[in-house]
Amino acid sequence: MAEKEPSNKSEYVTLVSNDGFEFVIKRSCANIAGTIERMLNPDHNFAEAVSGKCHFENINGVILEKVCEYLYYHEKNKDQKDVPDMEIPAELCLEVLMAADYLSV
Amino acid sequence: MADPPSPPIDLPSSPPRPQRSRRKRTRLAFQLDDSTPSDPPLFSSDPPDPSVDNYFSPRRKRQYKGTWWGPEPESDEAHNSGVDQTSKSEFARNLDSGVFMSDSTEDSLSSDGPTIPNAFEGLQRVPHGNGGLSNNRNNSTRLSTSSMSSEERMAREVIQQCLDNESEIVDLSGWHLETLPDDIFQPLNSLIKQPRFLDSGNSPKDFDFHPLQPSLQLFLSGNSLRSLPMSMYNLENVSVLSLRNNNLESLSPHLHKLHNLVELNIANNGLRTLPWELLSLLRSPKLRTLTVLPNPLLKPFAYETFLHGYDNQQFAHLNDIQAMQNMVKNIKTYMEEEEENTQVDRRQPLTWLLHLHLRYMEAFLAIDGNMDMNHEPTFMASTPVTHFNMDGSFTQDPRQPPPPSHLPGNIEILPAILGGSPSPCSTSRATCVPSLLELATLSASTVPQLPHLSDLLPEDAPEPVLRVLEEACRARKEGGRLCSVCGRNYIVRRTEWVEYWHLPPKVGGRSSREEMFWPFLRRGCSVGCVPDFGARNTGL
Repeated sequence: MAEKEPSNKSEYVTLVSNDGFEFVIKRSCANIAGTIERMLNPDHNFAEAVSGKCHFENINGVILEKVCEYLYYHEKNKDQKDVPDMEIPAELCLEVLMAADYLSV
Repeated sequence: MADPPSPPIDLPSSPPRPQRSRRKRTRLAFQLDDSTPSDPPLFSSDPPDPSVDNYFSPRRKRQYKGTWWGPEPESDEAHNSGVDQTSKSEFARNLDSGVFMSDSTEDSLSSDGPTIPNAFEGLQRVPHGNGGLSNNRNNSTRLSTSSMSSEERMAREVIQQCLDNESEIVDLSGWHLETLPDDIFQPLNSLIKQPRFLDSGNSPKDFDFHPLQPSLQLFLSGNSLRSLPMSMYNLENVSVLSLRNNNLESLSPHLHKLHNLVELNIANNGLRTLPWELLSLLRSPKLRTLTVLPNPLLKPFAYETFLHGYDNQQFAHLNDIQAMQNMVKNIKTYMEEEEENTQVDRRQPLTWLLHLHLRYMEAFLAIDGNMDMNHEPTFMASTPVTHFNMDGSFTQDPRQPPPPSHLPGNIEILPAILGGSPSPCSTSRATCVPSLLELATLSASTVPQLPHLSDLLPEDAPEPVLRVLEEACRARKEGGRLCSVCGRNYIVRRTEWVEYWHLPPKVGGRSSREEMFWPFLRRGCSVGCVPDFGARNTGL
């Protein structure tokens, strides 16, 4: 994969949770989240835009996995009229809620 | 990952009485242990006397007189004499059988009495369907009297009387009630009508064969209600509902569940819009009378500019194609006249009228004039869509219309574009996928302890998170929300707009020009849930 390439044009980006889990996801999916899009935009001069790697100090691996699942779910269904449901386990809801607010997604 | 610690909630606590007795019993057991060598002499003729003096004689086990599968006899006995039960359990020990009866079995036997009624108390707060057991009913009334206002108690009594007398008319009007508890109408679900000829002893006449399904008449007029109890929307058998003279500022979309309504009166409230879901009720041929005015409803334009002498009644007389064509011709000439008259803008009402007549002529020709088309509401126009942020907040934007549900009170006219208008929001991001925030809130709303969830958040929790949780609580109180476009269950509305519909005068009751076009508030669950004007003509 292209996650180690320092190019900001690569097709994949890496999301890193605070407990060290790395998720390599498509850039188009990552850009659905407003905060990640801003981090990766070269115009904003964030370090993340250069490395293609986003560290989230306040999101753990389990939640970040759920977030990535959502990003792909969104990307897959964005043009559909009849969107299937995505389940979020009730025990994760508050943490996902916080993460969703932080990532503005 | 650790489960979130359960927050402190008011679960029905187990009764203190058995606990106390258990503690005593264990102490007693210690004292008595050495004094009980083996089986005491026991005869079936022994009189059961539960006193300290002869505690050897009564057999504890015998107190259970009933079938092994049903503890009712004992519980009943215990229920009637709960005090006796405890005093007995202090003295009577199971020392007789030679088989060690562990404390737990002993406990379950002796505490059956006190715990069962208490378990009912907890259950009573949960709305239940039967309500038929008189015992339960008495329990619930006895229970809640402590926390009830006098009006509420009277309301419950009235409902109880209706049940007892098989009366279908529930009259709670003019009581100055401000709120009604959510479960108040629950018992009415169990109202059953008796076949009439059973009383007389004669053979049934033809007119005795009336439907046994009750048709309730619910009068809540002349109160100060700001919201309606949720249990009302489950009363499918309501045929007359009067909400006249209250302080209602909005109606719940759940109102459409009352599909047996014949008469609905919502006059003299603070309503600015009607719920869009009500339209399905208005389409039903069952609903004969709907009284809405007076209410501060939104208008598409000032009715003073309306065509002179034209009202809904006149429209009703247009029952043949000739009359319609004449009317259309008239309107067109009026419009030409108005073009010269620039003082008052009367053109818009005229265009609306023309549109309406053309639509009706179309429908008339399509069905060959055979069908009674007076039942069908006709879509006229829609206001531009207001978009909300992910957390349901609204950002002021000159390109965005203000949200129709939070208009300042002095705005009476909300202009709309005939036939609907495209959404002002760029369509690139208009997707029907719910946001992750929304999904997480939906998931949170399935948790029973929803109102306490916000206590689990860190101190510095961002405001949007708190806001959506509050919204989830509100949605639960409203009995759930369904998107009017895609039918999905949602918490945070993302779009909102008003549609103007023309209701035929037959349903509209009194006919005036104020009653030509009614505002219906519609809400969508995602950015993509906006009106689809292409599909409008084929129905909704």
